[in-house]
Order: sequence, then C-alpha cells, then structure tokens
Amino acid sequence: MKDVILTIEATRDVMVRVGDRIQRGETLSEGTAGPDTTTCPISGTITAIDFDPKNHEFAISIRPEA
Amino acid sequence: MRKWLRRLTVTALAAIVITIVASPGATGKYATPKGNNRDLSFYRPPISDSPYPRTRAKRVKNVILCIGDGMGLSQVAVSRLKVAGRHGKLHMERMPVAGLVRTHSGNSLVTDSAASGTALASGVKTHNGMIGMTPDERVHVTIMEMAHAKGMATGLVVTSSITHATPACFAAHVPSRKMETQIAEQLIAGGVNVLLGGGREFFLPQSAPGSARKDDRNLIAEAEAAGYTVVETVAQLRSARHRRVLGLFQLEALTTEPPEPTLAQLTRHAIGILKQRPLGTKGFFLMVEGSQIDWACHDNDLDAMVRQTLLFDQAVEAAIDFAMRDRRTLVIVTADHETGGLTFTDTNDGPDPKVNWSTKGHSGTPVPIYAFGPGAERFEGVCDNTEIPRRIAQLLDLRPFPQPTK
Repeated sequence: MKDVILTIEATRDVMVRVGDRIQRGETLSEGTAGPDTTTCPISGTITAIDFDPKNHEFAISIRPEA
Repeated sequence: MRKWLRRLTVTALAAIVITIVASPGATGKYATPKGNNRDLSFYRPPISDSPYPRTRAKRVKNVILCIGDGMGLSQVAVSRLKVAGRHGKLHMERMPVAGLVRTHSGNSLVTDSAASGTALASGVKTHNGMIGMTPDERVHVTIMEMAHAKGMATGLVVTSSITHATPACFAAHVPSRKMETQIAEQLIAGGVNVLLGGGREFFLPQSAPGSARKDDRNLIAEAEAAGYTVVETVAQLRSARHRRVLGLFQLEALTTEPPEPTLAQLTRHAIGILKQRPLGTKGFFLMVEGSQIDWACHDNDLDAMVRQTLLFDQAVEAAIDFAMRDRRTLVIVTADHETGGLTFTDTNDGPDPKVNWSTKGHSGTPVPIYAFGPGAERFEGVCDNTEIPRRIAQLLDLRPFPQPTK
C-alpha cells in the first residue's frame, strides 16, 4: 500500500504522533490563528512525521486503510 | 467519490498539500542533517562568568544583529547546562544588558520567521508567511536598506539558504516566503555587500544541475556583472576582500559540518570585509542568523538543538570580540520566536536535564534579548519585536523609520 504524504506549514502544531490511527475528518493539525484546524482527508495510520527545513513544513506520512 | 474529492479540495485549501509516495513508511527525504551532535568539543565556554563591560561610548557606528531562529530561554539554558553548568554562562549571557521580546505576528499569537523577521527588519507587524510588507502588501523599507541608503556597508550571514525567511526579510519584499527565486533576485539587485550562506540552487539557471529555478536567469553571472566576487569554499572566501562578496557554500542549506566554514568563521569574514575602508567608512549593519536551531527544535532533537545553539553562540563571541576592540559597535542577540515549547524539569545537578517538548511547531512565549556596546541600554526590559529596529534606527540616525516605500 502506498503512503499518502500530507504537508503542513510547520508553524502549526501537529496533533498526531507516529503510530496513531486517524479517521477521515479528524484533526491533523491546529493553526496558530484562532479556530484554524486542518482535518485528515483519509483514514489510516501515521507512519512518519518529518520536518522539511527547506520548505518549513511537516511531511506527515499516512498508510491508508485498506 | 465526488464528495470525497470535494472534501479533499477544501482540506487542501486549508494549508494541506497531498502527495503519494511509492515507498511505504518514513521517507527519510526530509530528514535534517544528523552529524555527531553529541560532540561539543568545538565549543569553548567563556573563561569568566562576569558580564562584559558596559561601554561608555555613546555613538554607534556599526550594528551586528544576531538572531537565533527558534531560540527561546530554555534553548539557551539547556545549552548552557550542557557546556558551562548551572553557574556558568554562554557568551551571549555575558552581555551586560538583557530583556524580553514579545513576538506575536499580525494575525497570530504564534509567529513564523517571516512575520517576525519583518518585525525585526522593518519595524511593522505582518501576517505569517509575508516578507517585508504589511498585510495589505504595502512594502516597508528595512533597517538594512536604510543603512545602505545612508552609505553604510551591509551583510547577511546565515546557515540556511540565503533566501530563507529571516535573511529575506532584511533585503527583499514578497508576499510569500516560498518565493525564493524572486528573493534571490532581490538580494542581488539590492546590493547587499556580503551575502554568506547556502541556497545556490536559487541562483543557477534551470539548465544547471541542482537548480531550483524555472527560468534561464543565471544570478551567479548577474552578481558577478554587478561587481560581486562569488565564492563556494572557505579557501575562496579567505582571498575575497572585495566590496561585494556572494558566498554560497551549498545548493541548499549549510550542513554545519566541516569542511564548511562555521557560522563564527563566516561572521569574522563578513566583519573583515565590511569594516575595511573605504567600504566601512560610514559603518556597517550585519545580520547573523543561527538558522538551524529552529530546525532541530521542530525535530524535537535536543542534541542537535544544543549543538546549533552553541554554533550560534560562537558567532556571537566573534561579534563581541570585534565590538570589544572597536568600541563603536552595538551587538544585539535575540530570537524571532521560540520553537518546540521546550521546558526542563529536573537537572539532578548534572548536565543532562529532563526536557519536555510541548509542540513540534512554534510557541508564542517571549524570547530573550541581549545587548553589548554603545546604546545597549536601549534594549533593557520588555519590548515588542517591532521596537528593536526602531531603536537601532534612532541610534544610527536613520529617519524616518518605519516607513513604507513610495
């Protein structure tokens, strides 16, 4: 199964950890300006959270549910 | 399916970008450089804990602004515990004046480097992500541009790409920090005398290996035509004493590992170029950034954070060394924001405190400011980050500031 990578601006706070199972629509990250959250577009398991310094982004890898 | 796609689109617009990779699990693609971060033998702590002396001189000729990206009070404290113990000090902590800086941006309590850099360079608040302009995209002149217009020499020294958010804020004006090709163009057009860091990929035409440009402009050639000496190695940098030097030591960010020059070496070289006559006759403004403290904190990597903070402190020491001899140089050390929400709760009198990271993003806590040299007392107490360039402008008699461009 191919992983899906979501990239999120790194000023934001990531609300998941590696190994977490996440459902579509659940909060993935919280923004820094009021009620500003991003939700996960798919259901699956978080397999990696990497910081990409070049783009100042988090790359969140999700293994989709079969 | 259609409903799923609609949701995906909405989510993407809310700052998520989605890609699909072939390999399962961690990509490794984004990993920040992992050298031997536990080897801190490169660092020499101060031989004394006493404060550097206050300066009697009143007139400020030169300003060196050192910015530790993501460096909060805990980053400084934990780094100090590692190398100088609970009673010791880092070089920046020996500076005789200290205070706290509020960092909120124009649209958030938690700033990013672009908005905070704009505050530190132009004295105005803006939205996260914006460089050198207010939220209505009105361009505001930077303290470095004001210094240049007055005839002062100018320089930027970083360990990130020279086009990254913090250095960009001092010499470029774009609505998004991601516009690094345009930032590279503006850095050269602006005539900053010394540009040292990484990011060669944004200066090479698209036909060149490793280029990140989407056009055929060769900014290396354009820089040379504009009078820059372009260098890529320490040896080349040592022989570069011209009035304009562009040093791009990596395609992307610096590795901060040998054989690259350290941030302290780059700082010394920059000062050496900027102080020489006739270039530095009217003084100079130099910004030095420890760019990768932030990156280590985003990774919640304590060892890397300590190493990057100490590399930054070495550069601060280099700046103070010059200022002690020169007596007309103001050195300011601060941060754009704190990253990681770092705290520590138990040291057991040892060098390895128990640390807690409360986020992988930025936090909104105030950051420290330290100052040494003539005018240092102006930075005592609690201030907003927009106040810092305003006070520098007053000390250098750069007026009016802040100001939008016409």
